[in-house]
Amino acid sequence: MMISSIRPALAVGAALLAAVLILFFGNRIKANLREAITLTAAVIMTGLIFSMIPGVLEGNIYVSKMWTIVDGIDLTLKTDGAGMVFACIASFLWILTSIYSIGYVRGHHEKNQTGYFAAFAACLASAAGIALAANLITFFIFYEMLTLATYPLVAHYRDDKAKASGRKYLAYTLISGQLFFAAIVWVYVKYGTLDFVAGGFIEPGSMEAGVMCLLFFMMIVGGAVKAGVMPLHGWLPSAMVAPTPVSALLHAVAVVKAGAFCVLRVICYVFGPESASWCGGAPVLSWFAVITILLSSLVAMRQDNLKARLAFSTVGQLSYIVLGISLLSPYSITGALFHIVAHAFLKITLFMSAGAIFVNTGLSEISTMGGLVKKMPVTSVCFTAASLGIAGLPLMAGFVSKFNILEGALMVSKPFAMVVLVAAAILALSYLMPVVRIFFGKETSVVSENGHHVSKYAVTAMVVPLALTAVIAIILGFVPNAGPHLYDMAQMAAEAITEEGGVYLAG
Amino acid sequence: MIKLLEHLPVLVILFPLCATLLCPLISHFKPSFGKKVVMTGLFLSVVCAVTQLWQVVSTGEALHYYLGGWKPPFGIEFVIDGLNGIIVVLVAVISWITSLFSSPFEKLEREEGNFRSAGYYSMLSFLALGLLGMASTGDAFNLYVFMEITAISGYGLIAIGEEKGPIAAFRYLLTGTIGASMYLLGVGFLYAATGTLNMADLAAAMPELVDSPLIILSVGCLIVGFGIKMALFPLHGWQPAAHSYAHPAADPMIAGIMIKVPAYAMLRFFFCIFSESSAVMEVFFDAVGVMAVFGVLFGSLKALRYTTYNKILAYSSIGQVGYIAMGFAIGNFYGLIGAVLHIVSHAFMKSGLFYTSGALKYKFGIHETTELGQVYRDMPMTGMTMTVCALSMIGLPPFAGFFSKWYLAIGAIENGQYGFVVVLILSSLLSAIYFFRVMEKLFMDKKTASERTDTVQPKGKLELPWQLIVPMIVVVCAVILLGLFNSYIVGDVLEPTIREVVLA
Amino acid sequence: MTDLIEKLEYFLADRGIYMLALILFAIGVYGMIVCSNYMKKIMCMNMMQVAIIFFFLTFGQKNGATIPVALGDIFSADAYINPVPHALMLTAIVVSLGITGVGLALLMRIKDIYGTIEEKEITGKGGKSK
Repeated sequence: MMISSIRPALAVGAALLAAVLILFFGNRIKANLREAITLTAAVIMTGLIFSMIPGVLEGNIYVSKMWTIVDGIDLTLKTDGAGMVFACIASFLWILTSIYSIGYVRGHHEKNQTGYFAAFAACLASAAGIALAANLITFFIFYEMLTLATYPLVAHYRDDKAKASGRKYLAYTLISGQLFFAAIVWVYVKYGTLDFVAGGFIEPGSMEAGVMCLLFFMMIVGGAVKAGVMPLHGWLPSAMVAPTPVSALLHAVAVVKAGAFCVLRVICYVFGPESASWCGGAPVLSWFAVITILLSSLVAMRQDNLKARLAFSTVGQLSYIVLGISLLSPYSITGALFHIVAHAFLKITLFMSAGAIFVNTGLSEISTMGGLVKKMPVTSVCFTAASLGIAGLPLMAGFVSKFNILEGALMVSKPFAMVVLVAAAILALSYLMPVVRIFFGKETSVVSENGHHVSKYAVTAMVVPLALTAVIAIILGFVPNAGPHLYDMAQMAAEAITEEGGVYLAG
Repeated sequence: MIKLLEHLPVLVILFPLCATLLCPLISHFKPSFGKKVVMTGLFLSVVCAVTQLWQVVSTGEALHYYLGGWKPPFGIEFVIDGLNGIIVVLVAVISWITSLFSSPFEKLEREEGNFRSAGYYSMLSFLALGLLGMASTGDAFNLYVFMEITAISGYGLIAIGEEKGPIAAFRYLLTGTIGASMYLLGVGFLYAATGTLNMADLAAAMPELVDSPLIILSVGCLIVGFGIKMALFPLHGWQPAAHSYAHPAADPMIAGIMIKVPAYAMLRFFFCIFSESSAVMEVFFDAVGVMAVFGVLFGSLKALRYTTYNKILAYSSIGQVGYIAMGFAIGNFYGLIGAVLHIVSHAFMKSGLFYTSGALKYKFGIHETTELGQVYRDMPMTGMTMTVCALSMIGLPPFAGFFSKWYLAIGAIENGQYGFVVVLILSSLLSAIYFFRVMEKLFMDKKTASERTDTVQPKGKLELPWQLIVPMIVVVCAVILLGLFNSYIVGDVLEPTIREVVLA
Repeated sequence: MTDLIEKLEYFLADRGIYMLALILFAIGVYGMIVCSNYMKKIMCMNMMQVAIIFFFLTFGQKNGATIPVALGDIFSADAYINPVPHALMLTAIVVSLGITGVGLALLMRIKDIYGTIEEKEITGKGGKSK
């Protein structure tokens, strides 16, 4: 049932308002007040989004139709299952990253904190907008806003290295964004609608297969760049120069997930499973995803910088989602959607740990982190747990999603995908476990010398969120439906897509 | 009051005219009063323009005004419909805020002893008068007169600008006169063929003369004439110097609207008069399409090579005028919507960027982008205006520039002209390069200017005098609102006119 | 041969004057592009404008008609030439006068700044003043 409601619009609006307020008044008010704005907005947004969960689970859809944005199309936000999954994650993790950020930037004495928090809020507003967008133009507007809001975060340090990676980021995202734009216009002229429909609105055979494949990839490239599918992942590792909470946000919550979500929207809500496989786009995409999963794991093993290793792990994990979607079976889509959740909690734990280690000890290279467990026991344990989760060990959140994707692959009888999934789990273990081993290994003298003088309060602000995310990741492994019923919502969305779009549910 | 309302179309240009004439006179007796007369005149013009647009939109009918009560074909007629109503509002608003923007410069330059306030404001208001007239008139020869009024006051404002101003103005004078003469020649051919100068009558006479050689000749002359005035690609030679060296206070107006109104006139001429003749329109589409494509690419590529802020903006204008021409070359409903929307939004964006350029010159004397290092710390409002306008120029949502690009792309794809879409994308990316380069300097460069000294403004106050800030706020709001609420302008104002008058 | 000459004569008598006006126009434009002295450029600009004025006046002509001033004993409109081009060209003459005036004023300013009005010398100096 469609229910007209202003809650989706308010949720996005709250974050946007926070961004504007911080930008204009951030330098005139006290830092505490500024952070209070961030936290208030985060809590309001989360509250609004979570308040809609019961309704959504009953099958209602809340729609905020705002105004006509271009001739014939309204700026509309709505809460379908898939969008709610992403929105819940983004809004909830915003609270945690905000708390963590406050500890990090103060512990690390960052400059330009006002711009930092404003861009952060703008990022989250765009992420929520992307999650709830009801048509392609609304989606694209928030998508480009996300690009713009992330740029100042990537280039936060304003030195040559930051500038270079900022440029790289812009080059990748703007070029793909323009292709996406052209494709959207093309779709609009050809089909006369841009509304997302579960199961897609593009009929197979309504264009020549080759042309449709071109259209498919013009749209997908927009998402694939942000999701870091090889060979379009180049910006992601170099964006590592940004402060760690930004990396956490980039890699776990907003940017890469927006990319993966874009792939989902395009394949399942614009093209639909039928057209996506008919034009040959989805199978090709799944090969790209497979190659990315394998290659990125191999590259990750060679990285000594902890954040870089995690970055390549992100590249691989995001391709799980892309693979899950492009397999086009209900289980794999459920798995992909749930992997957005699982990976968000797991990867954010890993990045927050990396950041906490960096602020506390000044260490960023893995080989120098020997015996860290004595200095930072909680962080080390959480890191270990999250590593196991990423590898997909049972009773961790990562397992639930990966198992679903595997089941999906079995259902559409794509054995190579299964082999890849298993192989990738082992590879993931092989690049994350050495880190854990070093943490628990012999204490090297470097650790004790490089300690920053960080206030206790800053340390707490960093450790509490990361412990929390680790615990949630484990709980979700035991009970995927714990809390906001994210698993149910993912399943709901996947069923809607495949029922409407048809062929694969039976077999 | 009712009586007065009937005279709105002429009142719009009458106020600036009176101001132009009164300003030197009053300044002679009371120097500080002259500019107030001009500001008041232009403000009243804004009020009239808005009222008349509101009237047109609410009644849904075009206003016809016969100057002196002489009906065409004997007299001159002003026709205001949704299309030029909005252009008139645009011109009036930007003229008014530019007159506001100018007043602090006067103080600055009076100390150096080379600013003649009365002359400057007279010319500014004269320029506004010419542009308003060009937009309102329904008479081909009258358009020529207003075109030359615009040009003459433009030459003056460019010449009193920076050091190279006179040379730039002189070159513009030569090229501009060729343009105007070509236009006049074209009108001459038309008159010879039809015996009338009223645009509506010309349009009515056209079907009988579909492929007369006179018409083809006149079309050639008109394309060249308008092309020169709107700085369309191969005819843009005068533009970069003129836009870079004009007086910094008047530059927003010169760069923002002086090349847009001829573009509007081109649309009016070709789509309202010649649209019956398919041979003419084919020539027009081909010629303008080629010019647009090369113009867009040339302007964007050329802008990459400069570090002088004004030069970058000037060359980017060549590219952006190419967008407008591309809309004409697409020629269907969405193409024209895109073109008109781009006329409006680009006028705001470009004048916004030139406001920031003027403000930078005013406060720190900055001309080069290399000197921009972290200037936003001292001038946050300027930095924000620059950012918003630049993002809009690149064509990123949710700013105005994105939506004009959207309509252009829809129009192009509807016509199957995919090449135009490729050009649109390429030019967006190229302008992203040069504008992000500027922004990188603005936000991330180290403070290079060796201890910028701010002599004009006492500390602890606003970053700039309020007269400089208000125009920027107006422009930023316009760019954002035009973007978010473009569908209302398109649906309520432009669509009826374009469907009924232009594409009828 | 005589036929051709006859045709040519007819053409010249009929359209020749327009051709002359257009040639004058072309000479004006050519001069504006080629001359390097700014004063000469302005003169050529004037020639170009005069060519257009000629053009308008000639197509306003009519065989056997008189000037458009109402004479007491002629009432047929056919007996008067079309007054509109004249009226238009009066305006155009005023405009061209104005433009020439502005051009000359600019030249004085250029002469002040650069000390010359030769294009080559000015561009050679690269805009360095005084």
